[in-house]
Order: sequence, then structure tokens, then C-alpha cells
Amino acid sequence: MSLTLAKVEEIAPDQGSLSAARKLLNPRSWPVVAGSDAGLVWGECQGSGSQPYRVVISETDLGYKCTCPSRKFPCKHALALMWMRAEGRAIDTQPQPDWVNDWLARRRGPGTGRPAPDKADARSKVSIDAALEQESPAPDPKAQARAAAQRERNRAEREAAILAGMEELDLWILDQLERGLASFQSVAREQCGLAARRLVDAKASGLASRIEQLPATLFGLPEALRTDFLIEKLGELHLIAEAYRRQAELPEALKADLRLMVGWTMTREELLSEPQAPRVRDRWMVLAATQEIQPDKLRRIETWLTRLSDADGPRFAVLMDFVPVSVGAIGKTYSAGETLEAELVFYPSSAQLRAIIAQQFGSVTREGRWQAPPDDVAGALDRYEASLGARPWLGEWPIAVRNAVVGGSSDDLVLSDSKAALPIKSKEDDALLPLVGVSGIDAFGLWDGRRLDLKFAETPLGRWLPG
Amino acid sequence: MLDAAAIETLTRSVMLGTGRQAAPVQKAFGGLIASDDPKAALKALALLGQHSRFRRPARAAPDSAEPLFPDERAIVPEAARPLLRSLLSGRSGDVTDAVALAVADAMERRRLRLHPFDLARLEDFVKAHADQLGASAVAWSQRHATTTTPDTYSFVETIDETNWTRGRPAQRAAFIRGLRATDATRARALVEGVFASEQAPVRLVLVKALSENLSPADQPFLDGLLKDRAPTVREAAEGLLARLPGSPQAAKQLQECLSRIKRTSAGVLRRRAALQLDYPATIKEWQREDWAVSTFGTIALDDFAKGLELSIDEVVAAAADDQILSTVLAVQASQARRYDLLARLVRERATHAWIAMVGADDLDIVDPPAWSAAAIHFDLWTEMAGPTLMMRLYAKLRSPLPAPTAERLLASKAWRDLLGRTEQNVPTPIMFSTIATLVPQALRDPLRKQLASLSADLNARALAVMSLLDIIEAA
Repeated sequence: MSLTLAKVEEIAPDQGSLSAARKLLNPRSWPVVAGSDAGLVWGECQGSGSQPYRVVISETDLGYKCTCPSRKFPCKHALALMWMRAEGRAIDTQPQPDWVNDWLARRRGPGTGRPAPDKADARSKVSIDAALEQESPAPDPKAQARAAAQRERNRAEREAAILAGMEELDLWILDQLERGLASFQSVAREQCGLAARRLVDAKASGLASRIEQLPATLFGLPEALRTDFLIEKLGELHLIAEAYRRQAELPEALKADLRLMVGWTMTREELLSEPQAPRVRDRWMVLAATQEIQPDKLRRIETWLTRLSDADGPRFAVLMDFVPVSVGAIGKTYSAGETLEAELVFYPSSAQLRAIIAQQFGSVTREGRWQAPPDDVAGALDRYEASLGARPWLGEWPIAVRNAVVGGSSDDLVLSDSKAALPIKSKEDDALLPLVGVSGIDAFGLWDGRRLDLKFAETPLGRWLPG
Repeated sequence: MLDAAAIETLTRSVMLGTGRQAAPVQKAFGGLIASDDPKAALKALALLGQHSRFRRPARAAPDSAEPLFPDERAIVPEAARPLLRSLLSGRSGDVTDAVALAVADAMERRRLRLHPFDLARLEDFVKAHADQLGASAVAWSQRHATTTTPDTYSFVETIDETNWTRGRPAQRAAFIRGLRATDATRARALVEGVFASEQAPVRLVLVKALSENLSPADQPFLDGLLKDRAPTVREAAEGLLARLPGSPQAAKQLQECLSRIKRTSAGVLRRRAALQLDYPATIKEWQREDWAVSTFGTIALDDFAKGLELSIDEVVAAAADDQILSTVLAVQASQARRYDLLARLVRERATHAWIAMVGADDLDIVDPPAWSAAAIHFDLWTEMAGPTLMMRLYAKLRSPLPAPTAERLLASKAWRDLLGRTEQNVPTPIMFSTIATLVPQALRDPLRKQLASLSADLNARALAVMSLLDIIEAA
């Protein structure tokens, strides 16, 4: 997709960055601006320092890099370069300089593997890398064995710590049950904080995070839903603890999912090299892009994708990125309605959803109307229940419904068809209200078992997106 | 196994506390959970929770789903939506400048409404201009209003004598103002008929609407309003009476004005009368023009001349040396629709009298094209007026300038100087976007060409609003 000003606006972290970028549009600020046929644009922007900042952007996937010390992403220099590109300013095509190639080689973005070195260049060029490679000592098998043994000891210690943490978790839940969940609400923050800290000590950070978020979710619910929510969530915690203790008996996919959820991690490289991880190449449409700050001061960026073909396999995927809040504002990389052809690798799970982009093919484009899979409300609930059966600690799950209508009063809306209805989570800005009475809606949202968080809808009036 | 009664008992137990009321695990789950299992309560909780998660929503589909914001108007073209959002919401949005007014006015003229899905994102714009944006915008802006909240009038798309009492206050005022132009007596009778039952803010706008086509026949009604319970209404009625020739208030104001005029003679060879305003001691020098315009601007030009026992031409000639008095005369000429005289005064000495006119709330511009042609002479300007004044000009006209006047603007030295001074960063984007609202459709292309030389931070909003207005006007 060629860059547009609207896209630049979307990706900008805040108005200040845009205004600052606007001031950099003057060609005199850019002693060097060039591009390549591969969708890369780079330039040197004269800042306050003696050396100009080096900026490179990739039009294909909106990747960017700038050498300035800004804590905004993208910074004003990258935004200015995107802006110039969006305005269609003439940019010379030139061979990529080394610093651009370096960036390309280092980045982990979709579709950007390390470029194959030019063989002639590789022979003729003298480089520090090559010197280091030559000088690196041969691996010592004994040292490797010691390191492996140490890793195994650490792993065993962590397993033991987590198991002990699970026992403590059970005791904590039993305490809450004895005191009664009716009184739990008044001490939820304190008690959940305590339990979360113990789980962090027990090296079960994923589970700790789950408990830490519980009070915020609880108090965000209407009173009428809180009892069921507490029973479900505390019951689920015991279920996880019990499953962890008996993980050897679980199917591989469910076990892998459980371990990830408890706090074990799988790096991108590990996932890409995992032979059992499902890979799906298809065209995907972005249906929602959300950002949320977690209690652990990480910004969780979720990009929800739907598969545009009706082939077998997962219908939806979510890309998750975590960025420390301290790095500042982050713009959106993808926005609803964009499509891309990509190979996604799914994390192992009995209900596959979380994925990463292994490779992107071509640019991001915008296509016309999205048509939801041919499910009515009941059919969508059937799918949800099947996923819940496969993964009992299922969180929010994507639901798509075709040909539905939104009805009800302003604070009690439902998405329905002739047979069933799903309560909709209300939005603070009332953005849902204009949907009321519009029939023939293809809707996408996240279902938490009680309420649907509507994220995307195609309607006879056009596309609806939350404010 | 887990029937409704068991669920209820288990739920009550976990809510009250298993320490007070033991969970009946055996009864609920039979042999599934061993009675001596130390974690029986936990297992029961997990199963109860999972059971709950598989329970489908009880809520049935609503019987009917009627739109909450119905509207007969057509929706703005799709191409206008991104422009509306970028101009009037979010990061760069401003809903109080001339751009917002011009967009709302253009939509009102074309009888267009916002896309329903944009109502939330354009919340501030909708709130500020709901009366121009149609029934859906009004309903949206009142969605949180309760029955006890005042000012919950409905929007009437086509207002007439049968439904005008149900309309929004601004709509009702516009209706009365329009009717006053053709049938002043009928309009006043309609106002009289409902006046007593209206709330003070509505009474105020209705009284102000009577300023159109004011005549001595209105005096009895206006006299009655001097005893209204709302001070704002009394004040407005008094203001109208002061503009009514023959009323005691008008006579009093005229006398006050005349008492402030110093008559002298001027000229060496040929003596002629000279008039000069004498200001109260409390009025500072910088306050003089505002004071003079607000105090004497509404006096009828004929009465003023008669009071001075001069003809109008003689008064104009006699005020030649007093800049502020000339401005007052220009204002009076504007009120009397003497556009020939207004143009003469502006060309000869009161070049910026328009500023006083657009700044005064109680001065009406009845015929904007004729007034603009007479009052705005860009060729005489040494430099462009600031963006605030140009915004006020649009707000007073509520339409672009007539094409010949706008042509003179684009050709004027003041405008070209402004375009040329961008290197020093003197002008602001808001200046250019305001000018864009004042230029009629036929001259937008020449303006675009002129703005093309500016940097994007200066011209982006102006170019966007012109594109938007083009789309709306072509719809």
C-alpha cells in the first residue's frame, strides 16, 4: 500500500509529533533523501547535533528506524519522511547505503529476512564481522555441557517453584472461599495483589498477571455479573493449578498452551523453529488494533486478524506485542480494514489464536467490504463453546456473526438475529448507538462469555469502527 | 447432576463463605468429587465456574430495533467523511472556528446530515452546530437529556406555522425572522400567542427575532415586555424600542447622542458645519469606537440627521474630520440599508467600519451580499485583518463573500503581502482556512493556486476545507 496522509496520521503517536514532523517537510532539512524499488526510503535529517540523524522507513510494512534519541515511536523524523512519501514528493532511486542494509539485516519485521549477501561483495569486502567470525574460538564441549546442565537445573528449580506456588494459590483460593466471595470484593485489590506477588516469587509471572488484572475487570463489570465472574475466575485459577500439576497427562497442544499461560516463554526464534507450530499462509484482514496498559507497566498491542479465505484452519489470529510504557507513545502499525498476505505461525494451543507473522508477501492494501463467515449468533456461540471446551481457561475469544441487528436500549444493547442475542459491552463514547436499528450487519467482536466487545462491523451504511 | 437447585445452593455457599455454610459438594456432584478430598471445595468451584461459562446469554432478541437517531436528510457523501473527521475532530480538530461554521452552514443549505457512525467522533462539532446538522445531530446531542432537563425541543426539518412551536429555539427564531420579512404583523402575532408560556432563553431569542422589519406597530407588544420577569428579555425589548422611531426610548437615545455631538464650523474660505463626538470622561480612548457604535449605531439615520437639522449628505460631510463618528454613520447607513452611502463612507474614510459591525451582536446584516460589496473594500486595506476578525466576518455573514468582493480580496495587495510573508512565519494556518471559507466556490481554484506555494503546515487545513465544501455543495 502506498503511504497516505491518513496512514501517517494514524501511525503518529500524538499531535505534537505530527506538528513537529510538519516543520521538517522543508527540503532544506534533508540533505539526503533517496529510495529503492523495494519500498525503502531513507534520508539524513539535520537536527541540533553535528551529525544528521539517519532515518529509514519501509513502505511495505511501515517499519522505521531513526538514530535520533526521541522516545516517541515513530519519531518526528520518521514521520516527516513518511509524510513526504505520502505527498508523492520526487525521491531519487539509489542503491541502499550500508547503514540501511544493516538495519534491514537486524530487523525482525515481517518479510525481512537478512538480505542474501552479494557473493562478489562478500569476497571483496573487508568487514569487522568477518574478522570476528574468523577469530571466534571453537566451542568448548565441556563448557557447553556445563551450561546445559546449569540451564536444566534452573529449569527444574523453576518447575519446583511454580508447583509450590500453585499449592499456595490453592490455599489462597480456599481462604477466599471460606471467608465468602461476597466479602471478597472489598478486599479484591489487596488480596489479588498479594497472590500476584507470591506467584511472581514462584516464577509464574503469566498467572500473576492474570490475577493482578482480576480486580480491574471485576469492577468494570455491572454488579449483576460480578458473582458469576468471581466464581468463574477463581474456579479457573484452581483449574490451571490442577492442570499444571497434571500436565504430563495433557495433550501436547494444551500442555504447551498451559505452560505459556503460566509464564514460560517462547521466543520468536523458538516459535519459528518449532516444527509442530501451525503455519498458515493466506490473505488476512485487520479487524481491530488495540492498545492496553497492563498492571506490569507494559503496553499490550493487539492486532486482530481474520482470514479471508474459507480454507480449513484457524479463522482468526491475534498478534501481540508488548512494549514498556516508559518508551512513550506508540502509533498504530496496522489499522482496521487493511489486508495483507502473510504466513502466520501460531503458538501451540488447543484453541489456536495467538500468532506471529513469519513472512509478509507484498504490501498492505485496503480492500472492500468484509464478509463475516456464515455463522448466525447461535453458530458463533457453538464455535466459542468448542474453543472453551478445548481450552478451559479461554479468555476473550473472537466472534463473527453474519446478518445480525443491534437493538435494545442505549445501556442495554444486544447483537441478535431471529434466534439468539449477545449482550454488547457499552462504549463510553456511545459510538454503538448509531448501530441500533441497522439490520444486515456483519459483526466482529471479542466475547468474554458474558458480553461482546464489538470491534468491527460491515453494515448497509458502511463500515463501523469503534471511536 | 448439577441442577438449578444445586447451583443455587453452591453459589450461596461460596458467596457467604464455606466457613459459614459448607458447600454441598456430594449432593451437587454425586461421586464425581470424593468426600474426603481436601480440595473438594476448590474442585466444586472450578466445575461450577466452568458450568457457568457454558451458560448461554438469557437475553432474547429485542422485539423491535428502531434507529435511535432518525433523520430524513441525506447522508453526506462518503468522500466527505474523512475530511470531516480530520478537520473537525481529534488531533487537529477545532469546532469553533470559521471552518466548522462554514461546514455546518453548507450542510444546512444542502440539507445533508452527518454519517451516523461519525456522530461520536464529531461529538464536539455536533454539540456546537446541532441546529444546522439536522434531526439526528440534535437527537445525538440530547441523548443524555432527561425529561427534567430544559431545552429539549425537537428538530423540525421543514418549519411552518403549524409546527414552529415544536422547533428548536434557533429554528423558531429563524422562522420568525423570515416571516417578519414578508408579514411582520403575523410573525409578531405568532410570538405573542406563545410568549407567556415560553422559558426565558426562548423568549429572548424570539424578541431578538422581531428586530427584522421593526415598525411602530410592534411598540405596544414591546412596551409590554418591559415588565417581563427576565432581565435579559427586558433589556432586549428596550434595545428594540430604542431603534423604533417615535418611541420614548428612541427619542431618549437620540437626545443623548445629540448631546454628545459638538457642532463647530470649519473651512477658511467657505465655512461649513463640522461635527465631533464628545465622549464621557469614563470612556478611555481605546474604548471610544465600541462605545459610540454600541450607543448610537442603532439610531435611525434619518432621525439622526433630523435631530441635527441637517440633510444626510450634510451630516456625512460635517463628520469628515471625526473618524469614529464616520464609523457610526457607516453603521447607521448599514442598518438603514443605504448601501450606496455605506460604500461611500467606507471608501472615503471609514475603511474598517466593517470591524465595528461584525463585532456588535445587536447589529443585523440583512442582505449579506449587498452589505459585503459596500462595506468590504480589500483594495483599500494596507494589511490583512487578523484571523479573529476574519472569523467574525464569516460568523456574521454565514456565507462566502460575493464573487466580485472575493476576487478583489485575492487580487489585493494586503492578501498578496500576507502570502509573501510566510518565510517569517507571520500568518497562521487559521488565517488561510478562514479565507477559504470566505471565498465562493467559483474562486476556490484560484485560491488553491495561490496557496500552493505555502508549506503544508500553513495550507493543509485551508485546502482540506475547500475540498470538503466542494463535495458538500456538489451533493
